[in-house]
Amino acid sequence: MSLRPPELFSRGPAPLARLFFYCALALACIVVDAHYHQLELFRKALNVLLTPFQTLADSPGQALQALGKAWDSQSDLQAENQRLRQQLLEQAPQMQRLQSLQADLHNLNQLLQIRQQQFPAGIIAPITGVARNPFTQKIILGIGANKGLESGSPVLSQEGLVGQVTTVNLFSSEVSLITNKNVVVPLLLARTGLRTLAFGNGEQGTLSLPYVPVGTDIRAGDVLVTSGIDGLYPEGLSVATVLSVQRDPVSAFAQIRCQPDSAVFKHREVLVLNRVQSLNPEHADWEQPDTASAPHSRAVRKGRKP
Amino acid sequence: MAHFSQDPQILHRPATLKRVLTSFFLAFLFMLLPWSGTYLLLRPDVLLLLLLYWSVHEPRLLGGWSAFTLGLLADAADSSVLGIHALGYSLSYALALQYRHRILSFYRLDQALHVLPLILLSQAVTAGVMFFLKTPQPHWIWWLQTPLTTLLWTLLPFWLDRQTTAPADPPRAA
Repeated sequence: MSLRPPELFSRGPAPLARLFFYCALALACIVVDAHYHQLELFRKALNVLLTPFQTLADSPGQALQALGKAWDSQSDLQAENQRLRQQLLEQAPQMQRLQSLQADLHNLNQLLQIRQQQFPAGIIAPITGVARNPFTQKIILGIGANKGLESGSPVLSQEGLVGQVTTVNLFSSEVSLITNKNVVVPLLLARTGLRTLAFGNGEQGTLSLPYVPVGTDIRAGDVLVTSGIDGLYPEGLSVATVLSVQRDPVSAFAQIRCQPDSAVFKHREVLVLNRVQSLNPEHADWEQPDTASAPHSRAVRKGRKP
Repeated sequence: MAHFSQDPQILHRPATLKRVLTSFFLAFLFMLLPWSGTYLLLRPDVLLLLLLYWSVHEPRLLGGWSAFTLGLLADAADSSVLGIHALGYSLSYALALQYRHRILSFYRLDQALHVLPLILLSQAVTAGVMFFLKTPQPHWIWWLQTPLTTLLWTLLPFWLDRQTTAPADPPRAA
C-alpha cells in the first residue's frame, strides 16, 4: 500500500519538471547569447528596465562626488590651472611640428597616390563605472544611443587606446578594454615597422603578442601603436609598451608581455571616436587607392561633410 | 503560515508580497552600487540570499519563474552572458524548496550550513559556464563570496524575521 496521500489539488507540473524547464531555458539563453549573439535587443530592453534602479544606486556616489567638488579650495583649482597651462605650453612645439609633418605627409601621399586616412571626429563621454563582472574587463559610459554612439567605435584616453564600444544601450554603453580576452588590436611596432596583433589576457594591465617569431627584433620598452589596417582603429594611436620578451628555443614564437598605455582608471572621461570605416567587405576599398572618390564615399557613409 | 524556525513559542505572520518585493528592491540597489576591484570580487549575492530566504519561508509567494527572472535581471545588470545567473538561481531555488522543511527545523547557524552549498552551487555554475566559454577565472578571493553570503544568512534575516513576528495579542475583554 502506498503511503503517499492522494493529491486533492492540482499543483501544476512536478517541481523536477519545472526545474528542467527553467534550466533548459537558461542554457538556451547562454548558448544563444554567448555563441550566436542574438539576444542584444532583449538585453537592451532589460537595461532600459534597470535604468531607474541604476540611477538611484548611483546617486549617493554622485552626491559625494559633487560634495567633494564643492570643497575643492580655490588654491587647489589655481594650482591645477597653472599645471594645465604649463602642460599646454610644453606640448605647443610638438603640436606645431605635427602640423607641418601632416602637411608633408599629405603632399607625399598625393605624390604616391595613396589615399590618406582622415582622423575621425569624436565625442567626450563620462565614465560612470566598471562593469560589475569579475570575468570581463569593461567600463560603462554614461551616454549611449541617445547621443548617437555606435557599436564598434574606438575609445581613447589621454595616454592611448582604451578599447572599443561593444554594447550600446539607450542611456549607457559598455566599452570592452583592450585587456579583455575577446579584444584583438592590430599593431605596428613604432621602431621597426613590424605589424602584429595584440590579444587581451583577460586580466587587468597586461596584453600579449602571441604571433611574433622568435627571431624578430623586439625588446622591452618598444612602443606599439595601432596600424590602422583593420579599418576599425585609426592608425598611429598609442596602445602599449613592451614589458618583457622571452625567447624560448622550443617555441616558434616569442612570449611577449606588454603594458597598456591608457591609464583608464585614472580618468573620469574618455573620447569615443566615430567609426573609421565600415567593416562591410564591399566598402573595403584597400585594393584600389582611388584618391578622387574614396574620401567622398566614406564621408557619405558616415553622414558627415567631406 | 506558522513555522518554528527560531523559537517554537513565537508564531510568525505570513509575509506580504509588498514586503518581499521591497526586500528584493533593496537587494537590487545593493547589487547595483558602483562596485569595483576587490570589493566587486567580494560582493555578497544578496539577491540569491533573499531568494533562498523567501523560498524557504514563503514558498507560495514565489515560483520558479521568479528565480529565473531575477537571474536574468542580475545578468543584465552585471553585463554577463544572459542566462548564467538564471541557471544558478533556478537550481539553488529548486533545492531550497526541496529541503525547506529540513532547513526550517534547525536554528539559524545550522541553517547557514545548509544554505552554504546552495550558494556555492550558484557560484560554481557561473564559474563552470565561464570555463566552458573559455574565459579566464577571476582571482581566488572571488570564491569568498559564498561564505560571506552565508554569513549574511545568519545576520540579515533577523530584520526580516522581526517584521513577520506576530505581536503578543492583547488580553481580550471578557
